[in-house]
Amino acid sequence: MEQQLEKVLSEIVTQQDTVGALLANRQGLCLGAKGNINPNVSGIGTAISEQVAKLEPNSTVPATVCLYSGNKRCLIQKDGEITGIIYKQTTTASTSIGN
Amino acid sequence: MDKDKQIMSNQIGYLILKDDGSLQESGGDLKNDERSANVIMGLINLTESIDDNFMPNSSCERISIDYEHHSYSICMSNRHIYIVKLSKGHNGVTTSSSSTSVYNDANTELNPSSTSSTTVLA
Repeated sequence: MEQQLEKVLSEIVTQQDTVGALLANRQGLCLGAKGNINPNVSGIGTAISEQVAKLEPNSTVPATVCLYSGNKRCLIQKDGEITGIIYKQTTTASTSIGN
Repeated sequence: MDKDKQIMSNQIGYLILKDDGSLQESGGDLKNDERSANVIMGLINLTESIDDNFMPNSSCERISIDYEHHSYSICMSNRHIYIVKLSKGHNGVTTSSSSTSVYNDANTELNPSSTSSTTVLA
C-alpha cells in the first residue's frame, strides 16, 4: 500500500510549480510526504478538509480548497478517508489562478 | 438578490461578514445563511496558522472552495470577510479576475474613503 502512495506522491511533486505533497488519514496522521512539506501539516490539513465538508454535507463530489498567499498556493482535497495536501509556488510573479 | 450586489452574471450568492463573524449582508443562495457563515469562519480560523515555513501566519489573502458546478471565493479585507458563490460555465471554469471587482465594489460601498483595501485584492 505504501508503495502505491509513494508512487502517487512522486508523480504529484513532478508537476509544474509543485513544492511538496502530503497524504493524511482521517485522524490527521501523515501517510506519506514528498518534497518540501512538513509532515505535521497533515493535522491542520485534515481539520480544514473536515471543516469544508460541513459546508455542503450533501455534496457527493469532494470540494477542493485552495489557499492563496502571494505566489504560493496550498491545495487541500478530502476524498473519503484520505486528505491530500499540495504546496505550489509560482516562480514568476504571474497571477495565475485555478488548480 | 439586491441588484447592486449582482455584479457578475455567474454570481449566485454572497455574504459579507464582520471580522467577528457576524452577518452584515447577504443575498442569493446565501441569503441569511448563518450556518455557512459559521462554517466559513471556522475555516478562516483554521487557515491562520497552517505552516509558518511555507505561508506566514495570517498571510492567506484568498480562499477558494471548488465544487463540480459551483465555487466559493472568500476574501478578507478591511476587517470584513467577503464571500461570493459562483456558478461555473459549461467549461467548468469560473472567471476569478472578474470576481475581484465584486469585493472592490462592495468595499467602496461600505467605506468610500478607503482605498488601501482595494490594493490587497488587486
